[in-house]
Amino acid sequence: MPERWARLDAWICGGDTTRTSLARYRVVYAVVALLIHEDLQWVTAFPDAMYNPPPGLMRAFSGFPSAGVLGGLELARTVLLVAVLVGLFTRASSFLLVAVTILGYGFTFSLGKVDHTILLLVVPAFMALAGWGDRASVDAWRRRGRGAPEPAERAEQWPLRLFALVIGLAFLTAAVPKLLAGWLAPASHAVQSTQLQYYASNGVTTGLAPFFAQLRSGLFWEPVDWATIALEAGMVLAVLTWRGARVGFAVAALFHLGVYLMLDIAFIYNVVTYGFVVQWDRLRLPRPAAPARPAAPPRPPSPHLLAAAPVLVVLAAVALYAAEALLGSPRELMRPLLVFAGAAVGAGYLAWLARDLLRHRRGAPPVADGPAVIDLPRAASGGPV
Amino acid sequence: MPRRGSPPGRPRAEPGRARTGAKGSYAPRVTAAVRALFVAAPLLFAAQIVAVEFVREPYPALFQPAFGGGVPKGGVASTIAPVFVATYPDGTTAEFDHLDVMAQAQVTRSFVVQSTWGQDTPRRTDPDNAAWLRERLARLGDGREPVSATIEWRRTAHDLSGQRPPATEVARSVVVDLEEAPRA
Repeated sequence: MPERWARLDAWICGGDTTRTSLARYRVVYAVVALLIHEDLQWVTAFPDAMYNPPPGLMRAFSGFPSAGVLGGLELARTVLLVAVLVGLFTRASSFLLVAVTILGYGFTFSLGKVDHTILLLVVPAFMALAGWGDRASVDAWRRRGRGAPEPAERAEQWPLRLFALVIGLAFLTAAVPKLLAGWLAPASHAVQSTQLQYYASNGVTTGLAPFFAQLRSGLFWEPVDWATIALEAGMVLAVLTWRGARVGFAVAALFHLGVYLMLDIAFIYNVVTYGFVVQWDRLRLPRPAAPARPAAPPRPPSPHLLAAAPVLVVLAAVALYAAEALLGSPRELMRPLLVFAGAAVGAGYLAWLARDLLRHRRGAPPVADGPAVIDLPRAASGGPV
Repeated sequence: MPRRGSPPGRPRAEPGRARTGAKGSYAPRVTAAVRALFVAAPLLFAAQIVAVEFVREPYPALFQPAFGGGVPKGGVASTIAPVFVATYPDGTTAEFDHLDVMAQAQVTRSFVVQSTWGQDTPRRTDPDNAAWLRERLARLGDGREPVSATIEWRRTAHDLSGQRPPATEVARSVVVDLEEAPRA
């Protein structure tokens, strides 16, 4: 290895994210995605003459597909999400999921407006490369059944580093137009103007929007402009280290809460995306009470069950799809829940970090990045964690 | 089995890292393809910025919301929204908010109006779009079919100091003939 690459390679591969942590994130991601995924068939309410695809993939089509095709894409998405949830053919399922969701959303973005959900859509590709399917998955059971070697607990770090960099660069795409438009000018008040546009023209009159629409103080609005630029331009630097990335994402989660309250834009996609830096393996999950005599080691599922897993996944997905068609999507309910949950996690991390820094100043040794263990059962019972 | 010389408890093999040196320290092993991805990411970012500047925002692409156009001038913020003014055969008119006309759209509705009936788009004269609009306005207007629709882009000036009331004017308008549109 040439010496000149050594530092770059050390940075690319730096990190201590584990496969167990990613596996837990995989479950969180799949469950949340199943709850918040969007209907695609609404575009069939519009004629093909309105089809106005952005440059790229969607220009391969001349109009909107039929409701049947879009319904098929929705069902395929559900099947793949369930496969990712249980970790069945995880790598293939993850990449197929990215392809299906990018294509499906592409049709809804061909009416003249591209929504910025892309980071959530590409999560499975990066995580699959990092090994999110190697623990707590059907794939892991199958591997053990074959007697294949167990992958190391430390995940592949380079896909995670690359994804963090991609997020930082994506944030920069938001900062550059603002800088060019003059958001840093002392009297720009661009956020105030945007808020007024949403309040007066886009029908956003919920949450704190009416309050902010009446708020005329430049002392409030101009720092908001600068803070927005600082966050969006600074993210690409923050993601260069894992602690920086966690701080950046925590601040961004709080920023998304502010945007939600001000503009009713729930950036749930980003909030879920940031979850890959959470150290999920430090959560001590509830376990059944210890038996009186030593328990036998857990037995792997029967080979018949593993063989039937693909069929079970498809059946479960069809049932979920039918249930959503009958009962409706919980998406609207999830929007505020996820935004507030993301902000709470972000605030909690920043508070922990501040406390750790204070302790370190007083001479205590620094600890690993994040609480050592969060004992969920004990926390639920009110005991110390 | 732990490697000889590795710290106690280090689990098995670690893909992507090779042992170097006598003390068993670990150095990463990264392929050229992986390095190329890290070089490509900033280049992709630059290409995206150029694309959006000269063409339009591509998809799929790694963008986040820009909100770049909303800087007030002279302490006045402008908001703009389309309003549909339907004209009926007897000459009467009725106004419809674009949020109602485009209610089925689950993306920002003013963008859909701009994309379809903006001043510089060929879609604004497409008969299928006119037919759709006639049916939509008829549905919103208790079944009355309009003969034409004027899409007025109304700009409202908001004095950020709050000393003057908002003032609204028609910034531009597009007339859509609905009579000649085909019927299903």
